[in-house]
Amino acid sequence: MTNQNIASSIGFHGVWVDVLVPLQADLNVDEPKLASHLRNLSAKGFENFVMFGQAGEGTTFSADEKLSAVAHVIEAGVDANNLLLGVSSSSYTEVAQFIRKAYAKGVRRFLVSAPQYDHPYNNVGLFDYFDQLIKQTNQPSWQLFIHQLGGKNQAADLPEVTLADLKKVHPHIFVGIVDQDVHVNHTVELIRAFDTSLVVASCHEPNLTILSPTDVCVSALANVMPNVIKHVIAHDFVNNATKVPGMKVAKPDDRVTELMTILAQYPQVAALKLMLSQHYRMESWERVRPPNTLLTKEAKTKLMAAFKTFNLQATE
Amino acid sequence: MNFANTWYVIERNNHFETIAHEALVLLEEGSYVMLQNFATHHEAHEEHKRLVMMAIGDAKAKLDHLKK
Repeated sequence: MTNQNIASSIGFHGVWVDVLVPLQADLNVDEPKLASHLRNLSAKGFENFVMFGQAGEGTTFSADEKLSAVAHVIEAGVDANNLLLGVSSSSYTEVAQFIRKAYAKGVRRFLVSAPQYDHPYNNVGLFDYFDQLIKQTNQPSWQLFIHQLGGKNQAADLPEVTLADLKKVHPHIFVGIVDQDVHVNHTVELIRAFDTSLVVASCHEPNLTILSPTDVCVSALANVMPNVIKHVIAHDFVNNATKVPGMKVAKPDDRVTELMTILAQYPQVAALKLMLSQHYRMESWERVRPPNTLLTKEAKTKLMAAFKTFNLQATE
Repeated sequence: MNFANTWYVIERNNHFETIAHEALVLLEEGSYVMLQNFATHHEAHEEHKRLVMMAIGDAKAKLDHLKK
Protein backbone atom coordinates (compact mmCIF):
# COMPACT_ATOMS: atom_id res chain seq x y z
CA MET A 1 0.00 0.00 0.00
CA THR A 2 1.48 3.41 -0.93
CA ASN A 3 1.42 6.52 1.23
CA GLN A 4 -1.47 7.91 -0.84
CA ASN A 5 -3.50 4.73 -0.44
CA ILE A 6 -2.85 4.68 3.31
CA ALA A 7 -3.99 8.29 3.57
CA SER A 8 -7.25 7.39 1.88
CA SER A 9 -7.75 4.22 3.90
CA ILE A 10 -7.52 6.05 7.22
CA GLY A 11 -9.48 9.09 5.99
CA PHE A 12 -6.56 11.49 6.36
CA HIS A 13 -6.11 13.14 3.00
CA GLY A 14 -6.43 16.54 1.33
CA VAL A 15 -5.77 19.90 2.99
CA TRP A 16 -5.93 19.95 6.77
CA VAL A 17 -6.04 23.57 7.86
CA ASP A 18 -3.70 24.27 10.78
CA VAL A 19 -6.30 26.53 12.34
CA LEU A 20 -5.38 29.95 13.72
CA VAL A 21 -7.15 30.58 17.02
CA PRO A 22 -8.88 33.93 17.64
CA LEU A 23 -8.60 35.41 21.13
CA GLN A 24 -10.74 37.64 23.28
CA ALA A 25 -9.34 40.78 24.88
CA ASP A 26 -8.40 38.73 27.97
CA LEU A 27 -6.52 36.31 25.64
CA ASN A 28 -8.91 33.43 26.23
CA VAL A 29 -10.13 31.58 23.15
CA ASP A 30 -12.88 33.47 21.33
CA GLU A 31 -14.97 30.36 20.78
CA PRO A 32 -17.78 31.91 18.67
CA LYS A 33 -15.21 33.52 16.37
CA LEU A 34 -13.29 30.24 16.12
CA ALA A 35 -16.46 28.36 15.17
CA SER A 36 -17.25 31.09 12.67
CA HIS A 37 -13.78 30.78 11.08
CA LEU A 38 -14.19 27.01 10.70
CA ARG A 39 -17.64 27.55 9.27
CA ASN A 40 -16.26 30.00 6.69
CA LEU A 41 -13.53 27.56 5.66
CA SER A 42 -16.14 24.80 5.40
CA ALA A 43 -18.25 27.03 3.18
CA LYS A 44 -15.21 27.25 0.88
CA GLY A 45 -15.03 23.46 0.80
CA PHE A 46 -12.34 22.91 3.45
CA GLU A 47 -13.71 20.82 6.30
CA ASN A 48 -10.63 19.18 7.81
CA PHE A 49 -9.03 21.00 10.70
CA VAL A 50 -5.99 20.66 12.90
CA MET A 51 -6.94 22.36 16.14
CA PHE A 52 -4.30 23.60 18.57
CA GLY A 53 -1.43 22.61 16.34
CA GLN A 54 1.58 24.78 15.62
CA ALA A 55 -0.39 27.63 14.03
CA GLY A 56 -3.09 27.23 16.66
CA GLU A 57 -0.56 28.08 19.39
CA GLY A 58 -1.46 24.72 20.90
CA THR A 59 1.24 24.56 23.55
CA THR A 60 -0.01 27.80 25.12
CA PHE A 61 -3.48 26.48 26.00
CA SER A 62 -4.54 24.31 28.92
CA ALA A 63 -6.38 21.03 28.46
CA ASP A 64 -9.60 22.60 29.76
CA GLU A 65 -9.38 25.51 27.33
CA LYS A 66 -8.85 23.14 24.42
CA LEU A 67 -11.69 20.84 25.45
CA SER A 68 -14.06 23.77 25.85
CA ALA A 69 -13.20 25.11 22.38
CA VAL A 70 -13.55 21.67 20.82
CA ALA A 71 -16.95 21.18 22.44
CA HIS A 72 -18.03 24.59 21.13
CA VAL A 73 -17.04 23.99 17.51
CA ILE A 74 -18.66 20.53 17.52
CA GLU A 75 -21.82 22.10 18.94
CA ALA A 76 -21.62 24.69 16.14
CA GLY A 77 -21.75 21.94 13.52
CA VAL A 78 -18.13 20.90 12.87
CA ASP A 79 -17.89 17.13 12.46
CA ALA A 80 -15.64 15.69 15.20
CA ASN A 81 -14.35 13.19 12.64
CA ASN A 82 -12.85 16.10 10.74
CA LEU A 83 -10.71 17.25 13.65
CA LEU A 84 -7.09 16.44 14.41
CA LEU A 85 -6.48 17.71 17.92
CA GLY A 86 -3.05 18.84 19.08
CA VAL A 87 -1.81 17.54 22.44
CA SER A 88 1.44 18.30 24.19
CA SER A 89 2.68 17.67 27.68
CA SER A 90 5.65 16.15 29.40
CA SER A 91 3.35 13.73 31.22
CA TYR A 92 1.84 10.78 29.33
CA THR A 93 -0.84 10.46 32.00
CA GLU A 94 -1.98 14.02 31.27
CA VAL A 95 -1.99 13.36 27.53
CA ALA A 96 -3.94 10.10 27.99
CA GLN A 97 -6.46 11.82 30.26
CA PHE A 98 -6.90 14.63 27.72
CA ILE A 99 -7.38 12.17 24.87
CA ARG A 100 -10.00 10.24 26.84
CA LYS A 101 -11.96 13.43 27.53
CA ALA A 102 -11.80 14.60 23.91
CA TYR A 103 -12.67 11.05 22.77
CA ALA A 104 -15.83 11.27 24.85
CA LYS A 105 -16.76 14.35 22.79
CA GLY A 106 -16.31 12.40 19.56
CA VAL A 107 -12.75 13.33 18.56
CA ARG A 108 -10.81 10.38 17.16
CA ARG A 109 -7.59 11.88 15.79
CA PHE A 110 -4.83 13.23 18.01
CA LEU A 111 -1.57 14.96 17.15
CA VAL A 112 0.95 14.29 19.89
CA SER A 113 4.50 15.62 20.10
CA ALA A 114 7.42 14.18 22.03
CA PRO A 115 7.55 15.19 25.70
CA GLN A 116 9.43 18.25 26.79
CA TYR A 117 11.93 17.12 29.34
CA ASP A 118 14.93 18.68 31.03
CA HIS A 119 17.16 15.60 30.82
CA PRO A 120 18.34 13.87 27.67
CA TYR A 121 16.28 10.79 26.84
CA ASN A 122 16.93 7.98 24.43
CA ASN A 123 14.75 6.16 21.91
CA VAL A 124 13.81 3.45 24.43
CA GLY A 125 12.45 6.12 26.78
CA LEU A 126 10.54 7.74 23.94
CA PHE A 127 9.04 4.42 22.90
CA ASP A 128 7.98 3.73 26.50
CA TYR A 129 6.39 7.19 26.74
CA PHE A 130 4.14 6.61 23.73
CA ASP A 131 3.54 2.96 24.60
CA GLN A 132 2.30 3.95 28.07
CA LEU A 133 0.29 6.81 26.60
CA ILE A 134 -1.56 4.44 24.25
CA LYS A 135 -2.12 1.87 26.99
CA GLN A 136 -3.44 4.45 29.44
CA THR A 137 -5.71 6.02 26.85
CA ASN A 138 -7.24 2.58 26.47
CA GLN A 139 -9.90 3.49 23.91
CA PRO A 140 -10.78 1.69 20.69
CA SER A 141 -10.57 3.10 17.18
CA TRP A 142 -8.63 6.26 17.69
CA GLN A 143 -5.71 7.49 15.62
CA LEU A 144 -2.37 8.75 16.85
CA PHE A 145 -0.35 11.10 14.67
CA ILE A 146 3.14 11.91 15.90
CA HIS A 147 3.99 15.60 15.61
CA GLN A 148 7.62 15.93 14.56
CA LEU A 149 8.47 19.52 15.49
CA GLY A 150 11.85 19.75 13.84
CA GLY A 151 13.54 20.87 17.05
CA LYS A 152 10.93 23.53 17.89
CA ASN A 153 9.66 23.94 21.46
CA GLN A 154 12.63 22.02 22.91
CA ALA A 155 10.83 18.75 22.14
CA ALA A 156 12.86 16.06 20.45
CA ASP A 157 11.72 14.36 17.26
CA LEU A 158 11.20 10.63 17.41
CA PRO A 159 13.93 8.73 15.60
CA GLU A 160 12.90 6.35 12.82
CA VAL A 161 13.65 3.30 14.94
CA THR A 162 11.17 4.45 17.61
CA LEU A 163 8.53 5.26 15.00
CA ALA A 164 9.01 1.80 13.46
CA ASP A 165 8.77 0.06 16.85
CA LEU A 166 5.64 1.98 17.75
CA LYS A 167 4.04 1.06 14.43
CA LYS A 168 4.92 -2.58 14.99
CA VAL A 169 3.41 -2.68 18.50
CA HIS A 170 0.39 -0.41 17.87
CA PRO A 171 -0.37 -0.81 14.16
CA HIS A 172 -4.00 0.28 14.36
CA ILE A 173 -3.53 3.29 16.67
CA PHE A 174 -0.33 4.86 15.34
CA VAL A 175 -1.22 5.77 11.77
CA GLY A 176 0.66 8.90 10.75
CA ILE A 177 3.34 11.54 11.13
CA VAL A 178 2.87 15.28 10.78
CA ASP A 179 6.26 16.72 9.95
CA GLN A 180 6.79 20.34 10.94
CA ASP A 181 10.44 20.34 9.86
CA VAL A 182 11.28 23.10 7.37
CA HIS A 183 13.82 20.90 5.60
CA VAL A 184 12.22 18.96 2.79
CA ASN A 185 14.84 16.20 3.08
CA HIS A 186 13.49 15.38 6.53
CA THR A 187 10.01 14.75 5.11
CA VAL A 188 11.41 12.86 2.13
CA GLU A 189 13.35 10.55 4.45
CA LEU A 190 10.23 9.86 6.51
CA ILE A 191 8.18 9.13 3.40
CA ARG A 192 10.94 6.83 2.13
CA ALA A 193 11.12 4.98 5.45
CA PHE A 194 7.38 4.62 6.06
CA ASP A 195 5.84 4.86 2.62
CA THR A 196 3.95 1.62 2.95
CA SER A 197 2.95 1.81 6.60
CA LEU A 198 2.32 5.40 7.76
CA VAL A 199 0.89 8.61 6.34
CA VAL A 200 3.45 11.40 6.32
CA ALA A 201 2.06 14.93 6.04
CA SER A 202 4.27 17.96 5.57
CA CYS A 203 3.44 21.31 7.17
CA HIS A 204 5.96 23.51 5.43
CA GLU A 205 4.17 24.84 2.36
CA PRO A 206 7.24 25.51 0.18
CA ASN A 207 8.11 21.82 0.69
CA LEU A 208 4.72 20.87 -0.72
CA THR A 209 5.69 22.33 -4.05
CA ILE A 210 8.64 19.90 -4.08
CA LEU A 211 6.70 16.93 -2.70
CA SER A 212 3.64 17.41 -4.92
CA PRO A 213 1.65 15.62 -6.07
CA THR A 214 0.98 14.42 -2.55
CA ASP A 215 -2.19 13.32 -0.88
CA VAL A 216 -2.23 15.25 2.35
CA CYS A 217 -0.80 18.31 4.03
CA VAL A 218 -1.27 20.32 7.21
CA SER A 219 -1.16 23.97 6.28
CA ALA A 220 -1.24 27.24 8.20
CA LEU A 221 -1.40 29.22 4.95
CA ALA A 222 -4.68 27.44 4.20
CA ASN A 223 -6.31 29.75 6.75
CA VAL A 224 -5.95 32.54 4.21
CA MET A 225 -5.48 30.85 0.82
CA PRO A 226 -6.93 27.32 1.03
CA ASN A 227 -7.56 26.89 -2.69
CA VAL A 228 -3.94 27.64 -3.52
CA ILE A 229 -2.76 24.94 -1.13
CA LYS A 230 -5.29 22.50 -2.59
CA HIS A 231 -3.92 23.08 -6.10
CA VAL A 232 -0.32 22.81 -4.88
CA ILE A 233 -0.73 19.37 -3.31
CA ALA A 234 -2.65 18.18 -6.36
CA HIS A 235 0.15 19.54 -8.56
CA ASP A 236 -2.61 21.23 -10.49
CA PHE A 237 -0.71 24.34 -11.52
CA VAL A 238 -1.53 25.02 -15.14
CA ASN A 239 -5.29 25.33 -14.83
CA ASN A 240 -5.23 27.24 -11.58
CA ALA A 241 -2.93 30.18 -12.15
CA THR A 242 -3.96 33.41 -10.47
CA LYS A 243 -4.36 36.54 -12.54
CA VAL A 244 -3.29 39.26 -10.14
CA PRO A 245 -4.32 42.67 -11.48
CA GLY A 246 -1.30 44.66 -12.58
CA MET A 247 0.95 41.62 -12.25
CA LYS A 248 1.84 38.61 -14.29
CA VAL A 249 -0.11 35.40 -13.98
CA ALA A 250 1.17 33.43 -10.98
CA LYS A 251 0.91 29.66 -10.51
CA PRO A 252 -0.21 28.36 -7.08
CA ASP A 253 3.35 27.37 -6.12
CA ASP A 254 4.57 30.87 -7.05
CA ARG A 255 1.92 32.37 -4.80
CA VAL A 256 3.02 30.16 -1.90
CA THR A 257 6.62 31.20 -2.40
CA GLU A 258 5.59 34.85 -2.68
CA LEU A 259 3.61 34.77 0.58
CA MET A 260 6.29 32.80 2.43
CA THR A 261 8.86 35.39 1.36
CA ILE A 262 6.68 38.12 2.85
CA LEU A 263 6.14 36.20 6.08
CA ALA A 264 9.73 35.04 6.44
CA GLN A 265 10.94 38.01 8.44
CA TYR A 266 8.06 37.96 10.93
CA PRO A 267 6.59 35.57 13.50
CA GLN A 268 4.38 33.47 11.25
CA VAL A 269 1.36 33.10 13.51
CA ALA A 270 1.14 36.83 14.26
CA ALA A 271 1.67 37.67 10.58
CA LEU A 272 -1.02 35.25 9.38
CA LYS A 273 -3.41 36.52 12.03
CA LEU A 274 -2.83 40.05 10.77
CA MET A 275 -3.69 38.86 7.27
CA LEU A 276 -6.86 37.21 8.53
CA SER A 277 -7.78 40.34 10.48
CA GLN A 278 -7.65 42.23 7.19
CA HIS A 279 -9.85 39.66 5.48
CA TYR A 280 -12.48 39.66 8.22
CA ARG A 281 -12.03 43.37 9.02
CA MET A 282 -11.62 42.42 12.68
CA GLU A 283 -8.65 43.86 14.50
CA SER A 284 -9.21 41.40 17.35
CA TRP A 285 -7.88 38.61 15.10
CA GLU A 286 -4.39 40.10 15.59
CA ARG A 287 -4.13 38.93 19.20
CA VAL A 288 -1.62 36.19 19.98
CA ARG A 289 -1.20 34.14 23.08
CA PRO A 290 1.94 34.74 25.17
CA PRO A 291 4.73 33.73 24.98
CA ASN A 292 4.04 34.53 21.32
CA THR A 293 4.47 38.23 20.76
CA LEU A 294 2.46 40.82 18.89
CA LEU A 295 3.93 42.47 15.82
CA THR A 296 5.55 45.84 16.39
CA LYS A 297 3.80 48.85 14.93
CA GLU A 298 6.54 49.16 12.33
CA ALA A 299 6.32 45.47 11.36
CA LYS A 300 2.55 45.72 11.09
CA THR A 301 2.78 48.73 8.76
CA LYS A 302 5.32 46.96 6.53
CA LEU A 303 3.34 43.74 6.45
CA MET A 304 0.09 45.48 5.60
CA ALA A 305 1.81 47.19 2.68
CA ALA A 306 3.22 43.84 1.57
CA PHE A 307 -0.20 42.16 1.80
CA LYS A 308 -1.65 44.93 -0.34
CA THR A 309 0.95 44.24 -3.01
CA PHE A 310 0.42 40.49 -2.65
CA ASN A 311 -3.24 41.17 -3.42
CA LEU A 312 -4.94 37.97 -2.24
CA GLN A 313 -7.62 37.02 -4.75
CA ALA A 314 -11.14 35.81 -4.04
CA THR A 315 -10.49 32.49 -5.74
CA GLU A 316 -7.37 31.76 -3.73
CA MET B 1 -21.86 21.06 7.22
CA ASN B 2 -24.99 21.72 5.23
CA PHE B 3 -25.06 25.21 3.79
CA ALA B 4 -28.52 25.15 2.27
CA ASN B 5 -30.63 27.98 3.72
CA THR B 6 -27.57 29.73 5.17
CA TRP B 7 -26.52 33.30 4.47
CA TYR B 8 -23.30 34.93 3.36
CA VAL B 9 -21.79 38.36 3.66
CA ILE B 10 -19.80 39.00 0.50
CA GLU B 11 -17.96 41.89 -1.08
CA ARG B 12 -18.74 42.52 -4.73
CA ASN B 13 -17.91 45.54 -6.86
CA ASN B 14 -16.62 47.34 -3.75
CA HIS B 15 -19.94 46.86 -1.93
CA PHE B 16 -20.94 44.55 0.88
CA GLU B 17 -23.96 42.34 0.31
CA THR B 18 -25.98 39.83 2.31
CA ILE B 19 -26.90 36.97 0.06
CA ALA B 20 -28.58 33.58 0.43
CA HIS B 21 -26.65 30.38 -0.32
CA GLU B 22 -29.01 29.59 -3.17
CA ALA B 23 -28.21 32.94 -4.81
CA LEU B 24 -24.48 32.75 -4.10
CA VAL B 25 -24.00 29.50 -5.98
CA LEU B 26 -25.29 31.21 -9.11
CA LEU B 27 -22.60 33.93 -9.01
CA GLU B 28 -19.57 33.63 -11.24
CA GLU B 29 -16.53 32.26 -9.39
CA GLY B 30 -14.08 35.02 -8.58
CA SER B 31 -16.66 37.79 -9.03
CA TYR B 32 -16.99 38.26 -5.28
CA VAL B 33 -15.10 37.79 -2.03
CA MET B 34 -16.86 35.54 0.47
CA LEU B 35 -16.30 37.12 3.86
CA GLN B 36 -18.43 35.03 6.21
CA ASN B 37 -21.17 32.43 6.29
CA PHE B 38 -23.95 32.52 8.87
CA ALA B 39 -26.74 30.17 9.87
CA THR B 40 -29.32 32.95 9.95
CA HIS B 41 -30.15 36.04 7.94
CA HIS B 42 -30.14 38.08 11.16
CA GLU B 43 -26.50 37.19 11.95
CA ALA B 44 -25.41 37.93 8.40
CA HIS B 45 -27.29 41.22 8.47
CA GLU B 46 -25.63 42.23 11.75
CA GLU B 47 -22.18 41.53 10.27
CA HIS B 48 -23.14 43.45 7.13
CA LYS B 49 -24.14 46.41 9.30
CA ARG B 50 -20.85 46.23 11.23
CA LEU B 51 -18.85 46.32 8.02
CA VAL B 52 -20.83 49.26 6.64
CA MET B 53 -20.45 51.19 9.90
CA MET B 54 -16.69 50.52 9.78
CA ALA B 55 -16.50 51.75 6.19
CA ILE B 56 -18.42 54.90 7.18
CA GLY B 57 -16.04 55.41 10.12
CA ASP B 58 -13.02 55.04 7.83
CA ALA B 59 -14.48 57.49 5.29
CA LYS B 60 -15.29 59.97 8.05
CA ALA B 61 -11.74 59.74 9.40
CA LYS B 62 -10.38 60.45 5.91
CA LEU B 63 -12.68 63.47 5.52
CA ASP B 64 -11.71 64.79 8.94
CA HIS B 65 -8.06 64.44 7.96
CA LEU B 66 -8.68 66.43 4.76
CA LYS B 67 -10.50 69.18 6.64
CA LYS B 68 -7.50 69.78 8.91
